[in-house]
Amino acid sequence: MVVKDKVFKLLYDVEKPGRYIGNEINMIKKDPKKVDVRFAFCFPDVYEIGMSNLGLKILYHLLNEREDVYCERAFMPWIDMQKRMKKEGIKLFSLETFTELDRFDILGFSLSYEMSYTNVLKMLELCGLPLESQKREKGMPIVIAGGPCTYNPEPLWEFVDVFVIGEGEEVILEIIDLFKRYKFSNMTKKEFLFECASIEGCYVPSLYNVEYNKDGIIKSITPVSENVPKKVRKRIVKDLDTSYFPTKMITPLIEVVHDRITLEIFRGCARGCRFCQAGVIYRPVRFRKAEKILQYAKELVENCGCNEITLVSLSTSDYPDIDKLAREILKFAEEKKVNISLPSLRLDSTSLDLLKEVEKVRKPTLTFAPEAGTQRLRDIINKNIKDEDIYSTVKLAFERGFQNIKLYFMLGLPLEEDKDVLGIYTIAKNIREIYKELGFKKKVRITVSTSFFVPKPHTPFQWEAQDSIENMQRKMKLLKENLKRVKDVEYSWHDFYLSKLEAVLSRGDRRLSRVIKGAVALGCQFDDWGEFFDFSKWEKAFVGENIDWKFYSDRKRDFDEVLPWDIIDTGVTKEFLKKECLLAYEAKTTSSCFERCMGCGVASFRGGICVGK
Amino acid sequence: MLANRYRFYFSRDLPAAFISHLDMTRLFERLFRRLNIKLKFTQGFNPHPKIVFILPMPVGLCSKEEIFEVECEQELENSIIDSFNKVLPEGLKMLKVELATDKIQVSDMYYQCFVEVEEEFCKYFEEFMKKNPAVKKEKEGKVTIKKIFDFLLNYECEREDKTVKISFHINVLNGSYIKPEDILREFLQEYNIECRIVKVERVKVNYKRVI
Repeated sequence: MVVKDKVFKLLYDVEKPGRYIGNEINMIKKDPKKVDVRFAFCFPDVYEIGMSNLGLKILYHLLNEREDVYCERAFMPWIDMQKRMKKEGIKLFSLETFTELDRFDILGFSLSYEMSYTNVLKMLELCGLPLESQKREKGMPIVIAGGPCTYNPEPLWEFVDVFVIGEGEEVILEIIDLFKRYKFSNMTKKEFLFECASIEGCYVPSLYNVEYNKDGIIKSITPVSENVPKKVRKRIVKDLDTSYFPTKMITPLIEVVHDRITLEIFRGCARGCRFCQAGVIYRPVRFRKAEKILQYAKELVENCGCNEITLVSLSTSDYPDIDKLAREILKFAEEKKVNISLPSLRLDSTSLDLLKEVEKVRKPTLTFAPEAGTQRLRDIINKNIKDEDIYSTVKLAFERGFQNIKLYFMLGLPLEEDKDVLGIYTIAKNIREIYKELGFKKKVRITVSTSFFVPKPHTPFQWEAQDSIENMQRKMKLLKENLKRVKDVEYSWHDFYLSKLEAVLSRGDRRLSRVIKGAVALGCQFDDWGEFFDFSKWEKAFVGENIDWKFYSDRKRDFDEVLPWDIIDTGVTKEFLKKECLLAYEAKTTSSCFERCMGCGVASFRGGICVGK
Repeated sequence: MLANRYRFYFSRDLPAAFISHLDMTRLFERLFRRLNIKLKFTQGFNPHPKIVFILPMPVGLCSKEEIFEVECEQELENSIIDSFNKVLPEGLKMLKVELATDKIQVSDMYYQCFVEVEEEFCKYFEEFMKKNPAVKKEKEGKVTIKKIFDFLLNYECEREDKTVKISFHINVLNGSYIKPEDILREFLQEYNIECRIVKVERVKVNYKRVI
């Protein structure tokens, strides 16, 4: 019996069977026999999350533009489905043709967040493939991985053959060309990997040796031969207007997390918040022309039929004339009963008016991310929001009828003191006060949420220690006790242990690959899902490898320490990051790239707004 | 312009049978938008098109003919059926469309369930049915008990190779009916039998036209 029939028989007894049927609007159908390369795009989380990922959609359609390639998709099956598949002897399969993944040429994993690392291994296990790259011979799929987490690829180094660093639109096609030469010749896997290493943006971990000092700190990272680059430079797309963007986008049949058309309006962020990794790795800022966006928006509505279109970027307000663009789109969207959403908008009176106009259908909720409770700490992290901005916007928002205000903060930032924690309480209290003074009778909802600072590679705070669990707990309680006294305020905080593990994995080195494997063996998967996350299993896995996880999370590192991710070159220099870190210690802010060039180093890419500076 | 209410007839088979009722509504809304057909939307805070399925379809159910009605702000031609069939996902097929001038109600329907089970299945099933069984259902703390034969006009259990086909003819009384899946579940529980469903299909639905 073919896999498809076997799968369908399982679907009567599993949760959300629509996850496993494929067959979506604009899904690509090809004859697998007529292509040279079969590529499986693997997303290490459930369908509803994976299908909300824009990267998946761009690369899926880009690869399928090529006649010699068939790109299919596979997601992590939910636990109930995993059990059924195991019982029936069905390996992880693709949604396009229900082909088991071990029959593919290339498995491409998307690494969007560290907490999905165990799922990557689990998916390889469900394919019946050896986890270690070394044990996969020619004829078995090549495993590649891309996405923001590859900026520190080391924790997964044993399992992935090739990491793609940076934006994948161009480099993926070069890998495929090379793969074709490998597949149809007697080139060995080793030779293939060596050639891969010379493609810019490809990191082949097996071609590097890492040596450690006695204290566990890295002594050196060296390539095995002269032909292997000393550093791997990220790849970027220089011009968004000429780069590929799909307008006949695959559209799910079942409800997914972001159930709408996503249209990317620009890449990168010019703001330089010192904790933010995205702000560094996606540099330089590159805008897409308004005419292009408008044309794409129209085509996407025609081809997908969704009732909502969202304009995405890291900081929507920074798009020149965002007002004009949104209103232009609204002109035809309204006619077709399509709603527009504008996430990550900086809030002032003009954007409030814009929001009210474009998000007519939505229940009005205002979201603010001041990140820190006092001006001093906001200067330290280089977040340019002033208290007055918050209060004046909130006042305007209340006057315009907004009744839900959401505030996002971070606890445990470098140099944080208790008065900074209490500053969060003061902001919430003052907002409630403003509402009262306006004399509204209706109920207001002020939601305060805090996450814990996670020091991330390639940021000015990459050397910082994360707060201990005890300190996190204490700060959370301090804030909670105080916020209790403010009317209409709800407080929620992020899991301590989850933040801890995120810090460990994001700054981990090669030795963590064994720990991750151990955690999977102990049953860890879906770590990002509260109901499955079990830190005690992880602790056991660390003990099993004789590793103290605090070494990775709670330890402040020296500026001259060799970092596991030093092998990766984002374009932003280490000197710049260090300078920024020292400025943070003095609570001095840095201008955005729009005002003047701060010399971060990424201008060497000659792309985006850096050109001409 | 007055809105026109149209009645669309369609069939549903695997794999589309695994789309939930809510997702079906959204899917059709999207397809209407893609085909540039203007639907009538509800007023108010969260406008949505008025697409109404005469019978909701549980996840997994195939059907030879189902109906939904929708209000359009324009007149539709019969060629709309072909346009739909070009964009519908595998398993869904448009059959015909008509202007809905009357109202319809379901009178009775025929089901077929195909299951993979052990040899003696039919014998036990006959035995179970002879006891004039009832189906117990709990919803939000309220328990409803329905006598199966109050709704069941006829049934038949027959073996075809490895699978068993059970046919049901079910009567709808004042809008209420009994689901074949519930009858099966009740039986499997009582006899502690494991079974694997291969297909559940609504073969035919009869309607009454009301003014």
